[in-house]
Amino acid sequence: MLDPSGPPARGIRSRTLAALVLSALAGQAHAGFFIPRDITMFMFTASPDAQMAEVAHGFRADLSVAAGQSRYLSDDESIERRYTTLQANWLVHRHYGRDGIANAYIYGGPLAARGSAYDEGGTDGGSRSGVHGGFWMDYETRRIYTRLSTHLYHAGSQTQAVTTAQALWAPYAADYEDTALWFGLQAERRSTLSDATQITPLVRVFQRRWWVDVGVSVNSQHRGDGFVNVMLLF
Amino acid sequence: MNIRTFAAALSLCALSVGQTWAAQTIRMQVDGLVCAFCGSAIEKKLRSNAATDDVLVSLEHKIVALSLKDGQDLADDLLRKQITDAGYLVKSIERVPDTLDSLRAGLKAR
Repeated sequence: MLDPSGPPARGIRSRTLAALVLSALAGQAHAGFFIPRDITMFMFTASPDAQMAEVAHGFRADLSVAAGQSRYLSDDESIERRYTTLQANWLVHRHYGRDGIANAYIYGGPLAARGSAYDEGGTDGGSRSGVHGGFWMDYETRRIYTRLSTHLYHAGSQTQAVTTAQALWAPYAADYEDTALWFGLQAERRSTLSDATQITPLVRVFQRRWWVDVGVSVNSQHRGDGFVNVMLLF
Repeated sequence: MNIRTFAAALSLCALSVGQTWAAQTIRMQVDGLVCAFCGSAIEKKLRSNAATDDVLVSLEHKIVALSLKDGQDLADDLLRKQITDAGYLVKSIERVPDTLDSLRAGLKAR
């Protein structure tokens, strides 16, 4: 049930605008994981309480390496975590069906964590080293996309998990030359930062070399929070 | 062999080779093609070949085709590897007499 005491429309617009501005500075892995060999992808994702940026390059058909920055903020804004990450993405299995493909990935690597959560007892100005990793599964046809992923971050004594589920539908099956349009829903939980499951209806538009997701959260704690995800292939 | 006979033989030979080297189209049936964003890696790979003139991708028909520059060719093994590296499965490779434009028009008409 929606919280009737949510932010006014002006607040919604300003928070959405803030998310779009932040998106120019930050980002992460909220869509499209597979990086073919010799392809480089730049991605950024932003909402008021999470910003991520990542550059990934495919070295083999089933292996890519990514370097990224991410920043998470708790609902009450008392905890901030910033991660600098290096990770290997391994395509464990790809199933080629008649109408679609299913992928299973695992990924992980080292990280450096900073932010208010690490100010006490950290070294190098509150920095802590740690590890991160997770899994990603998706199934897609030309009209349906579903995904489930979990990303764990561990540094010092703190562990954070970001679990994301997406389901999208395309009103038409776009061909290679067309601009693809999708509508869907994203649900995300960020353990130790929020008790809420962030529900975000989103619109996805992409063509051959670019990809944009835009959404606005509707659950009480995050209502009106804008979300944007952009990917570019080189 | 006098010089006229030699010149005629040479012309015939050139004509024959010319016909063999005429621009041709390679058509491939590829599994896994569901999205243009992911499939664009195939186009990038195929265009990186000096012998490639143009590339056609059809998600609807699961077809990737390319036209070759005059006198050029690409080995099936290379094409298969490039598409596999892009994350897709090649089911078949065939040389067809159509130009890429006629192939494109044919696919649209289906």
